[in-house]
Amino acid sequence: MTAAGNGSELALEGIAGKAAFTGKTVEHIQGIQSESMGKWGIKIQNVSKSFEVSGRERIQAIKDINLWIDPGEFVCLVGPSGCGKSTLLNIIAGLEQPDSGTVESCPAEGHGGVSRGNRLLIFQESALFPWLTVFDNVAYGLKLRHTPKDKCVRLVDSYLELVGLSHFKKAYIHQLSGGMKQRVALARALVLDPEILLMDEPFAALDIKTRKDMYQLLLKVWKETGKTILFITHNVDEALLLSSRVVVMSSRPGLIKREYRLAMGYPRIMESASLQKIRSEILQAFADNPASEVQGGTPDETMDE
Amino acid sequence: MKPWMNRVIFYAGLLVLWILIGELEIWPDYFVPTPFGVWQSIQDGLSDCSFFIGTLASLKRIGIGYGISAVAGVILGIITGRNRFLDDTLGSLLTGLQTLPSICWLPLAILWFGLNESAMIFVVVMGALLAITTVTVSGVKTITPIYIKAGKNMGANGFKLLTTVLIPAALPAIVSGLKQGWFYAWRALMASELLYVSVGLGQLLMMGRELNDMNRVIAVMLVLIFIGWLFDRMLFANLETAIRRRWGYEN
Repeated sequence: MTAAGNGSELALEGIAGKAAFTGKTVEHIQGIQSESMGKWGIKIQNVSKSFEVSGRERIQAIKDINLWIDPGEFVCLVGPSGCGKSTLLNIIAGLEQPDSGTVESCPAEGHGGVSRGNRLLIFQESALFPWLTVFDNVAYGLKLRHTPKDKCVRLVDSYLELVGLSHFKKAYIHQLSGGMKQRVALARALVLDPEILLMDEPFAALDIKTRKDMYQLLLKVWKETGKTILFITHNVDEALLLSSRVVVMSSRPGLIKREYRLAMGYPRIMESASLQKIRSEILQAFADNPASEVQGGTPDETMDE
Repeated sequence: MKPWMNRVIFYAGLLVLWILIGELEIWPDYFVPTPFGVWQSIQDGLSDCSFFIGTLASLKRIGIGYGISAVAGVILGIITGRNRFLDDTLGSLLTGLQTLPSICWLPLAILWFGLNESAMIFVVVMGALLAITTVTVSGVKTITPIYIKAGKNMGANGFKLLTTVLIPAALPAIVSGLKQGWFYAWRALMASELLYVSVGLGQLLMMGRELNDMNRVIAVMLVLIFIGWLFDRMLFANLETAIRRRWGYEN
């Protein structure tokens, strides 16, 4: 199969998949909750963070990051490994404290409300709990929040349906494939109605076919839930196929170099002239950095990651 | 051939060999007893209830001693594993103390508690506690950090994080710690029962020696092996397998 062939197939599958998936699920979910759907943006201001390495030396992981993400936006952050992408994500998720700078959730216009700082992370490797079933993994956060049992069951069921895993409720994590694990992770985050979904190279460990399915699923989820998404990747094509805005970062120290707004609709194909133009620009920007792992190529060519 | 068939043949062969050695009368039977004499002794022990009384007395001691070490060891292990300072200090002390054979605590225990049950239970506790604690510490320290991150990210903190993430994540290690602890407790108890004679399996064993009753000695040893096997195979092995399977360490 040629790369081009795959690209158009992806596009076609995208349409078919979407038509088949939408329907009952959407109403179902909207009936249960609509509190913060797409209503939160994130304002990252002057965030810097450095680490101590082997005693004395300090490494500036990220420096003066300023990034405003609008409510409902799908932003992809592209950069070489070691550019502090994950650090930034951890800071936004509240798992690490920045040395300076602030991260705030800001509501969309006409929507008040107090931010609960509910920003959920999806990791590259499965962070699901092997001691719980699929159902209990998704229900985990709801139980922490003392959600009434019947509401909890309804929510978990509807999100498992959304990611297409209703039949695997009772399975244990080690029984699932890599792609299924990431679907569960997606449901586990979405069920908590996050203000923003933070994704740390969530598909990097998956094979091409699964990754394409996940692209479709993620775009479907984004469309149906209207969630604000910040997605990290070092795969330029992934960023171009998925996001409404691509932000390019450099490494050591991690700085935002430039960004591209992508107005075109979905599904996209890599062959389109406008995407190709942006793609070569981004790759050019990293070309002078030999250590850069930023990859071009269609998802097919990036198998060896 | 199936493993259990191999085993049956092996043990049958061993028994036949034993009978043959007895039949050949190379050694007097107070030196090398016959299986029939040992069997008789087991029956005697069971019918006059001395085995039951001894077993119950020993199990009671190990129940109390092991119970204390299991609860204290797991708690201490989790706290030490999560606290850098405690791990650097207490952790190294525990590892150091573990090199001391637990029976060496007996003289100290007798001076502290006198010649009584408490002294024996103390020795059992010292035997099991250190093992359970050190294994739990290493289990907690090797928890995949991503589980903790994910738990925190979803809103688990403090006690909730402990009960819903840390303990389940460390459970495979905790169970192997408990298993090791059981071995240490069992050995420590037998050693102290042999040295300090009161009702118990150790005392039954010593009684055999004092009466020059080799059948009795072997019979009690078989009872000890049986009890050890029962706990190891029936309890810990099944528990360990079930947990490893659920956690996805097998397959």
